[in-house]
Amino acid sequence: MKKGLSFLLAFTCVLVISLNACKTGDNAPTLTPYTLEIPSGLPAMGIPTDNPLTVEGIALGRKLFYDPILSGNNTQSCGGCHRQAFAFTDSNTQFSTGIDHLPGVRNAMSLVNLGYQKKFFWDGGAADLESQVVGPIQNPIEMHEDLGDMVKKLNAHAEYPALFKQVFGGSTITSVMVMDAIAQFERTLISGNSKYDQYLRGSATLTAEELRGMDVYQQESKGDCTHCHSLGSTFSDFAFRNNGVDSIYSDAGRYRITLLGTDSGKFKTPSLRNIAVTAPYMHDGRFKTLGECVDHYNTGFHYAKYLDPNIANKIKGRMSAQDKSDLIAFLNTLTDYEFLQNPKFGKP
Amino acid sequence: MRTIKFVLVSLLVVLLIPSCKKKDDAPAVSKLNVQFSNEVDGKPIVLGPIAYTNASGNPYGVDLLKYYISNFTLVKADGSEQNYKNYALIDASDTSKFGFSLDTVANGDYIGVKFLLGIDSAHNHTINQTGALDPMNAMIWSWNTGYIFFKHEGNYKNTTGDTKPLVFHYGTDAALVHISLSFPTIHLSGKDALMHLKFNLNNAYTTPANIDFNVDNFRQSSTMADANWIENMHDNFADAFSFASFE
Repeated sequence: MKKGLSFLLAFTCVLVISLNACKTGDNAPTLTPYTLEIPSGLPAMGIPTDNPLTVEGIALGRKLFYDPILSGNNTQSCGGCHRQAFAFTDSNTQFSTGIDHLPGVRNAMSLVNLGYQKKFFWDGGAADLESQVVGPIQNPIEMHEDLGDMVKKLNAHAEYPALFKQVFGGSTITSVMVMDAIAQFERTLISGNSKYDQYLRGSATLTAEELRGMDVYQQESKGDCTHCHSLGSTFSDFAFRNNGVDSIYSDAGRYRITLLGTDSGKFKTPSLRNIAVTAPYMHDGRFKTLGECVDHYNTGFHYAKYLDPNIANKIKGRMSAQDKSDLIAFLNTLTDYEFLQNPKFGKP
Repeated sequence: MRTIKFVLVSLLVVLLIPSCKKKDDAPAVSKLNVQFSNEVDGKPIVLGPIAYTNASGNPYGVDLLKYYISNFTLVKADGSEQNYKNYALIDASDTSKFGFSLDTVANGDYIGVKFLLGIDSAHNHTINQTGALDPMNAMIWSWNTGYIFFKHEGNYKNTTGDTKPLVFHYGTDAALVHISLSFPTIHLSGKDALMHLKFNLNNAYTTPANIDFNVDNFRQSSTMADANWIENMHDNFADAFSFASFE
């Protein structure tokens, strides 16, 4: 009986060993799948099947996001210009400065609810979140690092090889693994608990001023913000539009990507979530305050060629001083303090 | 009893391991190695010196020459085609990147090849890809997702004889070039075979459009002027490749 059992055991071992010999590549890493908690009011988030979220992958991405090792001289991380307290923008900086002390030409974008967006950067040049990751790393006026050198540094690091191996398997860290890990972390940066969200759920009350502001936001004859910054949910349709900040373009925006004349001066409609803490505003950070932004849409916009029709047909000066201050009061309800302070999103 | 057990276990190991292997038929396929010779009007490219002259009369040199060859397709004598859906980065600075191998080409007669200079649109809108398409290969832009199909960097001499930098980064969907070459029938019989194709860099700068480096010397495929340059280069590339030899 005992002998029979040991034979069975030996048989099983041989079977398992033989079957494993058929597999190629490394052993599948043991990973903990991660399910995003989506606040009510926001839609389900599509996750690419080739980069599923895992607890370990997100933790690795977070570590990388805050690690200056990704820059050419090891001085600047993603988080250096995308700071949580400012909804992952660069505080009050119009143009962030790269490792070579060169200023950029566009304002650092907020990293919020990225999993709902199809294209990244102000001009949509990055076609998916993973592809976006290497843009700032490589850009000579940003983190200015060669991807080959970046990977060499990571492979020679005391901790990273084991962490990457755990998440992605394989014996060598590749640039694609870096892209996947950071994208995983970035997809967790979900904001949906502002005062406005709480009001929708019945757990907060908006003041009379804020409620009037919400009305201005929606009324076509007043703010008419909703056509582009859809009320609620993501607060943007993420389409590319010319909002008339210039009539002659120093920055051709989306045109640079599509080389289509009609895309001249078009930029991605940003989300208005946490807008009170993401100053300055517009693709080039030209407006310091929300007041200046509202003034732009009320009176300041240029009748640029390809100006978005939602703006082109608006009467200048349609919002009163009262409308404007009410609107700003409403925009201030879009700040999600929980998001700005959530320790899960901070430097590990 | 012990001996029987040992024999049985050994037998199992022997029986199970070969079951992993594919069936080994007589070789109906050949390994075809495709190599590109990078030349300027018949002279193999030597990186560095300003040693070449284009059709516009601009003396120039090559410090870096890299390009993508993809979707390599063999045309059989009966006209049928086999697309290998491969992606290869040719790099003039690295002899290990002068070509690529197709390991299982069906034996038979072939009369031509087709391939893309560049990356098909389906693979040109994410850089989250490995192998030849790994972004680490430095054939991407930082601001626009997609691959640089063709890169030539070096120096040229301008009209006053000054040495100036030359940077051509050619890409975007509109830049994709379909190359089709035909040749006298070749026969694959199961033995390793080697096909040489030529790339004449000067042909990229002439016919139908002469590229004058005094006008076009820095192109990144992101402005209106770049769009015109892309169109010209696209047409020029059509005759830049040719069949050289088969052995």
